[in-house]
Amino acid sequence: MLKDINLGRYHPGTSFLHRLDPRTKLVFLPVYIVCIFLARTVLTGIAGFLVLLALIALSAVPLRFMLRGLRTPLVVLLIADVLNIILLDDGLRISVWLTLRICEVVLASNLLTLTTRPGEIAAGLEKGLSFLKVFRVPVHDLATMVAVAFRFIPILTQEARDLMDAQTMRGADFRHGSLVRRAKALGPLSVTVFASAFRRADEMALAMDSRLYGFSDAPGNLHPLRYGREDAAAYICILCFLAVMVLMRTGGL
Amino acid sequence: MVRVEHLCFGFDDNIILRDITFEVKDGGLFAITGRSGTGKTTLARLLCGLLEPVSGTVEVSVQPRMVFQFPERQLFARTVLEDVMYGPLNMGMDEGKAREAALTTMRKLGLGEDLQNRSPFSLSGGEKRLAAIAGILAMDPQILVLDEPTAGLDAFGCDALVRILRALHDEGRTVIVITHDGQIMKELIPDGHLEL
Repeated sequence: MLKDINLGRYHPGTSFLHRLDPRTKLVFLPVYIVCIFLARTVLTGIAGFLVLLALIALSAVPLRFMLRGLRTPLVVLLIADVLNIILLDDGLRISVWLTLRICEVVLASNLLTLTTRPGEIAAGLEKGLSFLKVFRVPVHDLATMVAVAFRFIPILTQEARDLMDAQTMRGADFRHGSLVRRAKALGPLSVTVFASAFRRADEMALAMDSRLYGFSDAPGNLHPLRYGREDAAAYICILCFLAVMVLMRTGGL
Repeated sequence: MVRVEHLCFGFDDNIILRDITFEVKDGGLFAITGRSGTGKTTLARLLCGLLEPVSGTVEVSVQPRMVFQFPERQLFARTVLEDVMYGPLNMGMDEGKAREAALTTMRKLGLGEDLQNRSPFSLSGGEKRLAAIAGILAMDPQILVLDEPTAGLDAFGCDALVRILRALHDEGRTVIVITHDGQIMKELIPDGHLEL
């Protein structure tokens, strides 16, 4: 299941989405999430879904790879759906909407990281939130923290897989037996994952420190961000999509 | 016995191992060498059943046990002794027998009594490596796969490890060593060798 986590992974490419400025994608993601939660009818639900399909096509990331990233959240969602159906009067309808919306959010979030390097996300966040520096918000540090967090997700999932293999060699069984037994087998794993995460964080902090992180108030940027024509086109599309979804919602569609 | 025939492995278009064939007889000492990135660790995982081949077969007489390259990925318990006991307990031994198996193995590898109650995370690099090997050896495996066992060890540590590997071989165990360390190859003198 760990190999199915796509969040934080980068899929190299030169597609339209890859070429977009990270700020454009960082603006689009919250707008898209708002739009899909505005959807109340089947028509608007389909509209949100079609936009997502178009974006996946524009990203050139294989659909099978994208859908694999849904396996883990779907397990959690299915548990929530069962509880909804049992406990709520309108549980089936709520479950279908919840599942669709969360899947759309997960896929859209995955698209951001699959088409944007962690460094670009950090640069986009820093530049996009630079106005907050007036209020003495440490934007550069926040952006670095987000970039490091994204970078650590695939590293730690890979490490967790390696640890599971190592424990499997010592007779641990993560796949068979009751839920309690499998949860018990995960105990030793969590200790090693946490120990490894702290060790890595410590080593990384030292490495950054030794290369003068934080020495300058205005550090230079290796890849300065510039908006292009494609970004302008993307912003127009984002605004049109938001306007259509708001109009449909207010029009009762 | 380990028999590998026409083994191929890869992810999507990236073929890592192509048409690998070799055999290690019971009690053999076999080395798999090659430069970094040639698929040595992947082959070790295939031998132990942690990965499924794309094509070809891996046939083993008993389940091989693998000691991973990074001992930190194997150690987790509160004390070294508890860590070494983890495998025997998983095999169904009672606590007394598991403790006995762990202590016997630790003595054999030269892990002194003073280390028993220490945290495995507080050990030196060489001691961690030995503790990781002890964790596998306490399960009394007949086929042992070691991935880069000398990585991070100093000259004394390497010498000690070579002696341990030779002793395991002399006991009749099948030992497969994956390495790119030319020195260990000279000292181990394996019965068979595969260059990737």
